[in-house]
Amino acid sequence: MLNHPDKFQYVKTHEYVSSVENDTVTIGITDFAQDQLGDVTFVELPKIGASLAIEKKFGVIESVKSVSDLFMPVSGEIVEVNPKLDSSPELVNNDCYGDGWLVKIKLTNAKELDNLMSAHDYTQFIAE
Amino acid sequence: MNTTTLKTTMLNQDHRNLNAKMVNFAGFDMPIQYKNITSEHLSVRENVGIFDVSHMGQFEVSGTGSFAYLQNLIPSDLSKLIHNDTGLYTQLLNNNAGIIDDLIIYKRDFGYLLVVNASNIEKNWAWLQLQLTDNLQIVNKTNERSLLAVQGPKAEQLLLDLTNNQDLTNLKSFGIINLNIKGISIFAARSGYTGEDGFEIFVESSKVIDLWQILLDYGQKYNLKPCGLGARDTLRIEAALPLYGHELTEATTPLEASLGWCVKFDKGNFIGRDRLVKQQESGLTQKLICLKTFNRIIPRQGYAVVNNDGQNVGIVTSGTMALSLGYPVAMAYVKPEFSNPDTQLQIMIRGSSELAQVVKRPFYKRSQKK
Repeated sequence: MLNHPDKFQYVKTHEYVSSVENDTVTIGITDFAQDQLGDVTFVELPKIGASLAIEKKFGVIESVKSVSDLFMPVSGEIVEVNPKLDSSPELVNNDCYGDGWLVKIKLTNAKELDNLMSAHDYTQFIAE
Repeated sequence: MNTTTLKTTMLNQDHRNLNAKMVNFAGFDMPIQYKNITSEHLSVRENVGIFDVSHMGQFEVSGTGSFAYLQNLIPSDLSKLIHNDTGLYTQLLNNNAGIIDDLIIYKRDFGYLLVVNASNIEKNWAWLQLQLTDNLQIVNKTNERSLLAVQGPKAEQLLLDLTNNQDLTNLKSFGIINLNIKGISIFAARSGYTGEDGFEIFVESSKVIDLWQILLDYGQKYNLKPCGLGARDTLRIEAALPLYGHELTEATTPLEASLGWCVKFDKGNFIGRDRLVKQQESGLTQKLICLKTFNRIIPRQGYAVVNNDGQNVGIVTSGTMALSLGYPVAMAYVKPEFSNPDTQLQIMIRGSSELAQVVKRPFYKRSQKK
């Protein structure tokens, strides 16, 4: 069973956003997304300090089967990228909400959070 | 995707019961993976895996005219098959030596068994009908006979456990043996598409569900895993085995596709021979090569290959992460002057160039060979 925890918010491009801590959120791809991609082999992430607007491409995720762009669910400045993904991209499959997170960003427009989907809405969205 | 219009194999429900992800492959609703591609790939390299390949086409050619008929359709020398239950890998060529399909031909007591790609069943059938000669009969057995591939270093031991037939150990590559597996009559060929030792098991379609379950049950001892088309693709690319629609098309000839070893000019005339003779004399304009890259970015079909001056010199036909090797690999057609091992090239991937190096085929080779 795919798992989309209530504590996160979601966007249609299948990224999740964690709850806010010190103006900062953690972003990753959802369980649905990692399941669709299959075996992840490579994740290309932006440099720390990059400032990216909502819906802008922030990276590429590649699996044995296919390659997909990653999109910013909210605007922000990249303050951390997951250093483990370089050598262990499979963490995205094994633990997308934990060790397989992608980036941490400092929010530049916290109001955008109001427009994100709840776990319930996202689950309905992917069922369509 | 509307799955109701897709063709299915007898094992469709069994795949679904194993939670397989299903995809449309050549009009068939087939499993691309059960758990994940990596574990399935490695199970074949290390232990044993089982694939449902019942979508592949099976034609039987019989009658006194069959030898001459088939000999004319392929560049290989069919007279190499002296004894029954031997086989060879070859191609059907069009008049321009373009590859209509690649296939295995087995000589059997009734005549010849042809195993062809699922994607080309109708096209092959039409070509075989168009070329018909006297004193022969062709039957399409695809629906009534299913095909399972049991592949990996433990494949032989698994079949020995199930049949107790020691002749299996002496079965040569592309050789066929009749076997009885727990009351089910089958025949198995020592062949496959993974770069490992293994068998392709032919069974009446009415018995395939039982046989699949028997193989899964007895295979547990060897950690057998059901494997989907995803692992089939990563395994065949590591072994540098060509796939129709990628390395092989009607626009490519066996000489270009590094299948020159299949072409026997001295056997006499065959369809496409003139073009191959010309290519042999005047030289090729493209050659299939193996490339490796150095980052984790995967070169995929259609990506351009350029030289160090940025000039376009070829195109990628297949690429993947080589799961047993840990780096990306690709096959590509390039101009012959760029085909030597160690040549440095670039592959254009999403706007940037990625260093690539020509390497000897195959990428992966198993240690012992039957």
